[in-house]
Amino acid sequence: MNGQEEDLLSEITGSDYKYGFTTNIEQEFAPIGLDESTIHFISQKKNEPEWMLQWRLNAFAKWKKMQEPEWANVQYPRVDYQSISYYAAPKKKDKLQSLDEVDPTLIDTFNKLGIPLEEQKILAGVAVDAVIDSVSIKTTFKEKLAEAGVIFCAISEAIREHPELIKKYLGMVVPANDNFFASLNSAVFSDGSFVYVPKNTRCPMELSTYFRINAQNTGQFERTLIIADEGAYVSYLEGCTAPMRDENQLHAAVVELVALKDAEIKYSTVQNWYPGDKNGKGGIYNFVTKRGICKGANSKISWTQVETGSAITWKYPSVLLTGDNSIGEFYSVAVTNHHQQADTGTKMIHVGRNTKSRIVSKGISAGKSQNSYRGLVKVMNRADGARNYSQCDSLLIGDACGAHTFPYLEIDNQTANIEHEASTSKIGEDILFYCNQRGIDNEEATAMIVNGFSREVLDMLPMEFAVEAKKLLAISLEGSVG
Amino acid sequence: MDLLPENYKELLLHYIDNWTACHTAPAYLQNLRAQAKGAIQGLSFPTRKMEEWKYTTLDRAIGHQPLPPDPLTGIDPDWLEQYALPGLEATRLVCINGEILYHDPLPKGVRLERLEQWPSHLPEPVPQPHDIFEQIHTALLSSHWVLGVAPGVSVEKPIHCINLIDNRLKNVLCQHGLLMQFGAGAQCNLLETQHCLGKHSALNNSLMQLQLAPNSVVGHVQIQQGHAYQSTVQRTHVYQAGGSTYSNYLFSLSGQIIRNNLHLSLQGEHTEANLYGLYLAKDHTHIDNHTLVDHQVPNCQSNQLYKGVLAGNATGVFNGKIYVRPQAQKTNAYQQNRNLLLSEKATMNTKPQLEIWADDVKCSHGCTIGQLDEGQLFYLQARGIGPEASKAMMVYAFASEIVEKVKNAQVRDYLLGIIANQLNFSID
Repeated sequence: MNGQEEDLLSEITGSDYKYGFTTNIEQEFAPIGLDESTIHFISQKKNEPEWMLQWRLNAFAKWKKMQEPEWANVQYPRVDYQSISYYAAPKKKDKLQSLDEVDPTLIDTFNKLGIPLEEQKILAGVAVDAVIDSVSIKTTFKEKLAEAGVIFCAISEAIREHPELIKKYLGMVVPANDNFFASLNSAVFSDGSFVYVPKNTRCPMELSTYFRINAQNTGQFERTLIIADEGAYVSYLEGCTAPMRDENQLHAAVVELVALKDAEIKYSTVQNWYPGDKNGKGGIYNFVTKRGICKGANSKISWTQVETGSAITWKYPSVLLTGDNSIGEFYSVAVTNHHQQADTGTKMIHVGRNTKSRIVSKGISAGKSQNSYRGLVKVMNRADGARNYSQCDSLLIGDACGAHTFPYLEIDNQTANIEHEASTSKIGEDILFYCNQRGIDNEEATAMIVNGFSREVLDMLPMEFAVEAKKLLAISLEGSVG
Repeated sequence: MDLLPENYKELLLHYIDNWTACHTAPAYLQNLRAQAKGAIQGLSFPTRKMEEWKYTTLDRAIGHQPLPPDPLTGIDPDWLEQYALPGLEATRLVCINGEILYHDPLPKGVRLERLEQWPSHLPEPVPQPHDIFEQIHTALLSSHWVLGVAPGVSVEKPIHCINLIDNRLKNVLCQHGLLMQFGAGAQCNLLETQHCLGKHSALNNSLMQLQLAPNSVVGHVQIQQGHAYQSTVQRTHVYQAGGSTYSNYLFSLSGQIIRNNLHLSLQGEHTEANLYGLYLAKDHTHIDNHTLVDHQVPNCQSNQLYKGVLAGNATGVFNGKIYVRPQAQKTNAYQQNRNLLLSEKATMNTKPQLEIWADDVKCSHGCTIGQLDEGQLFYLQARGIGPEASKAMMVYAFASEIVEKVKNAQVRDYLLGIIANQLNFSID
């Protein structure tokens, strides 16, 4: 490796997390530890009805019997689930009518994060359900959504206001006993977003929630449930960033998507949680269960994710294709740097006839990080005419990182048409040389190449998000990627 | 199927005790046997909960409670003619129930001997401590046979290992193994075939180890055929030194359950490894191919092409792993797996896996699962070829790509003959 490259590498791997700051807001904590009384506490805090409490207790009973999974290609010290506080909320204040009434420290936080809460109202027509830790602070554009009949609110509110929808759909895609982290979430989830788009309605704007982990030693357990009724369409954006911490923070969210007949859900994520410092200290553990079901015929679910943060990512946004002619898509860019570890991918389960799925996964590893793609394409016996195309490419920057692919293909139907491709390589010296010859330095050239490498996925993001995604890619691979 | 794997293990351990008592061996081997027996006690037969056996269960094979067959003492060379490949001039090596009982005169520079002690230059004899079949193999090993080719010798005629299993009287579990060493610059072609003598159930537990010295070139054709109660668990470990070239051609054509572990260690720079596989399965045949190419040093190249045709109720498994260690820069590793599903009940599970720990590499894998192209079938039918014949023709063409890789014409013809014969039955 020549000197220039070394400089470049140390620059890439030496940059620190820029969004590291904390907001001082008074918190209300649940006592540290987890037992049934914690769940009673959370449920009570949320003013939940009795059936919800029972649902949580049932999940907790199942969780107690489960083992933490160890099959993922990640290493981390075991989490002590008894040393975490399971609930933190900013102190209750009276309901706010306008932005001026929001705590100025909060507004400041949003501004540092680059979330133009004020501007967004006018600019992009984005309704923001901003979540600091676990309680929804502010919801905008509610009136406009109400006009269309779209319900977009905190899930705790939905439990009180729309129990019939919650009872019907909560846990439909990710049941309470699905896996270790999902069960934990089912027992202790504090808040999250709820979206219901009624029949034949096109949601008038992109829905968006910003998450932010803000309290030390507080696990964040978000629960999101999105339902698109027959013929409905909704696009949902999720973006996250978290302040710098020394101790690992656990995040075990659950996202459930339900698309009924002819409905379409587009779910986009840009995730930039604190990845730990360059020595691998600290950082968020992101153990997320995301799953959608294409329940009705001709429905479609599309996951797009740009993952740049977290010390450890364990995340497999999946689609159950049960409706005939339904479509599942997964587009992902995962960037790991320093000591980050990502084990991410998707599951496409073909159950209905003529179902289609498409997987495009781009992994970029730098520093001492490990980046794994783990995916499953399963075609059930009666899923005639299933079609899948998968592509997973890895780009390696530096000689201490690793890129791995673990694709599982289980095909039980002769009419299936399944293709899978994967490649791993580094940025070719010839390509860099070509750029150098034309007056583009290594740094810019690397940026161009990484951008081009990820373009297929970035293009799938909504316009407002694509800008932020590029910014996050730049921060993650600071120095060479922009 | 009424026998639990645990009970079978007890039965086997009991057998091993009795067997060891009346089979003396060199001291080193006695130690190995004792270690292996101890290891068996701590291991269990594979279950689908084990990642390496996720798609394959051997219950059908061990349910027949196979035990090692009684030894045979001698054979008549004329009787062997039926197991020779038509028209193939080869040096035959005949192994019955795991013992080499006959061989043609060996060409110059080739030696065949029993080991009296474990040679220091050979790799550790038990590289897979968690594999119960490898331990059973060692616990019941009467001696290590070594086939050696001297440095610089180019062996003209292929060496044909005929592996026979005597299942005429009872259900058998047969241990079969050979160590092969190829000296620097040696060139050699190997052919392995296996046959059962009787109709009882048979489980062939085979372990082949090949050691290639620098710049040696080895071609290795393995043909697996068997009746509906014949199963195989086969491990082929290959250790390649710098500049060597190893090409494996694995044909799994019939049987009950076939599980192959092909494990290549690329230990010297500028080595090349080529892995070609073809599996044809129908009825209830289950074929599981695991390959592992372990790139340990820089500047090596590996290519893999595995193709499968699955009909009837057959199940196919392909798990191909390319492992590139941190120091193995400038590695080029490619892998392709293509499968045809020809019937409603056929299943294919595939897991092409890349584990890359170095950055300056070019690695790729591709995998397809599908059925015959309707447009192409129509093209043939529009030209007066019946639907059955069209299908057979296309599958034959699909399969021949792998056969064409084999260098020896007689072996190619033999394989094409079997494939053509099988296609008449496997396509409805």
